Amino acid sequence: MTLDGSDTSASGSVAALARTSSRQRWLDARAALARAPLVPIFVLGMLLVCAVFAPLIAPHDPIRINVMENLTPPVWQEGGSSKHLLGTDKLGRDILSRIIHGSRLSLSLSLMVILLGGSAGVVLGLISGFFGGILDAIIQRAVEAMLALPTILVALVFVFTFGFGFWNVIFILSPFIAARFARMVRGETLSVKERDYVAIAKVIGASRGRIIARHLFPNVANTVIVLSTLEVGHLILVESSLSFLGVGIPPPNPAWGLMVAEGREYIATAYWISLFPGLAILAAVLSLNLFGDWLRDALDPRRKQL
Amino acid sequence: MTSYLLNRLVQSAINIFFITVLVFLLARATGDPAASLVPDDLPEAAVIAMRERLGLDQPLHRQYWLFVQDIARGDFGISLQGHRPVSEMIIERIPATFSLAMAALFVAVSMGIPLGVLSAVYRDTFIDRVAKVVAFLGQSTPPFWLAIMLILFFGVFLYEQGLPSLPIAGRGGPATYIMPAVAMGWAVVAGVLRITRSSMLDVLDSDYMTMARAKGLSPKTVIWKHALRNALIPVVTYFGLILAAFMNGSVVIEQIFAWPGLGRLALVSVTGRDYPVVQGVVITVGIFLIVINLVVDVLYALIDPRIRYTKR
Repeated sequence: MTLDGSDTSASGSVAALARTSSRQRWLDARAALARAPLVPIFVLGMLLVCAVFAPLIAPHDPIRINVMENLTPPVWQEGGSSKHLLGTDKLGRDILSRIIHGSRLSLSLSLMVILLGGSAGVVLGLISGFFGGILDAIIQRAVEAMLALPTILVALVFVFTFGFGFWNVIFILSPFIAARFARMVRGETLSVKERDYVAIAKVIGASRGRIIARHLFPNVANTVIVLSTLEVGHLILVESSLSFLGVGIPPPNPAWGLMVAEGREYIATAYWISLFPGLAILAAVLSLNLFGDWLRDALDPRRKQL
Repeated sequence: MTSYLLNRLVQSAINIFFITVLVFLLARATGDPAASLVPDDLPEAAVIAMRERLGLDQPLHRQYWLFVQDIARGDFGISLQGHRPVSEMIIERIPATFSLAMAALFVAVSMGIPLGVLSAVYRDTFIDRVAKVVAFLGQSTPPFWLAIMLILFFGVFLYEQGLPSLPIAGRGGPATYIMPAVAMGWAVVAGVLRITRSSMLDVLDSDYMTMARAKGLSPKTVIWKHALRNALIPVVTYFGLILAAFMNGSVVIEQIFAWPGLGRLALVSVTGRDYPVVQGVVITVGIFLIVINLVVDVLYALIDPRIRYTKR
């Protein structure tokens, strides 16, 4: 058995394997697409359109006060007007326009946290999983310590010290997201690392940076995409909770959580102030969860969950 | 076993170190902590005395050591608003938060476990789908909004219709617990349901279940006695996470229902700029969660020997 001979037979069988598996993968992808959750995708599409084109879509200025028209009920109710489809709040601001603009705040904040915290987490997870040893131990201890913290309470201390606002919320939530990503990516890296092609790359003499970038990262990318989708939903919930408590995005911004809070004292007379922004949060988070769940199954059928 | 226990102990110590350092540094991040720890109406001498007490003229690690010693003694200083020891205020608030957490746990478990079992037994049927809907809704509903919608229906609407309604604020008889407990527990139903379902599916596939069925036991006994008992072990490990979720939830839910617990104390102190109380609550709750997680890990290792070898 010459080195050459074994080489060709090995590459031949690998090529055959690759052929069947790529065809199989194509079939799987088609089957997965057929099961795609259409309603959540539609809702998320609307959300994106609203966030990007908010000023063009919203019928009114979201923060313009018009006390003459305050507490107008939704259009289908007695006293409602077609000028304000979902009614107005105590200052006469249009609820629909505020919800549309609110999607911008919620999405941009969550995406920013995913971008900052998520990418830090991916790097830490890759390093931790690939190098192992003392570096891994330190990173994992830190990640666990981070995950043991009560998020909202720590956010309260942070807000107490630095004040509240859009960027402060991003800074306090990013480390928590980094920790979640680091833990997940490390686990994936550990299993990918053991595969043959990584060993081969090492034998060929690929640098460690190249192995991480070219061989490990593409294989954990699916996990990162799924996790990002689910975490955006989770972040929308956390951000809106903080805004609801008055320690997140400050008024008069049309943050969804803030809007629910503003309707609280009018709950007996003007339920629509709280109801609709909350429905927007529910619809957004539910769609992200359903979409992320489908994405996980579609990208990795082995890890099918509930 | 010993190495596993040792590992968990070390991690818990690190976690406690981490949260104390975090709170310690945040207090010093904005200049003079003595100024934020002493009421504004006290003379300059009080601020100077506080500086001395905190050791602000000493190196940072000495200051931290003083800080830790105070915590170890349960001394969080004097509340700026309440003018009495923070530890007293915290101890007072614990029963309200604890009893609400227990009520919420009851809601989560009494919905999550039966639904989880049924959805595993009747996998891929209508029941399984209902459970799936419940799980997704539970995960996606903002708790503060759910609380307000509950108030809208059970507090306002029923009251206006002249029907029996629920009290919307304060802590009193059992009726006052219903809405806060549901609003807090609902978010956790999803997690309990998922874990029960997947661990139930594992158990139902096992040989001893086939054996139990082969012995001719009734399906009811097999499912609810033999299977559930084993399936509940992973659910126990989830309790640490549930409690963490409740401690976060308590800030929101207690605020809405004017519930006199720790979460509300923390929020009121942040708005009232009462730093000793804020740091006291965060450290107390943080350490409590770390200890609970340690206990859960140890219990789990005792119940399920596999953990000692597989889990790092």
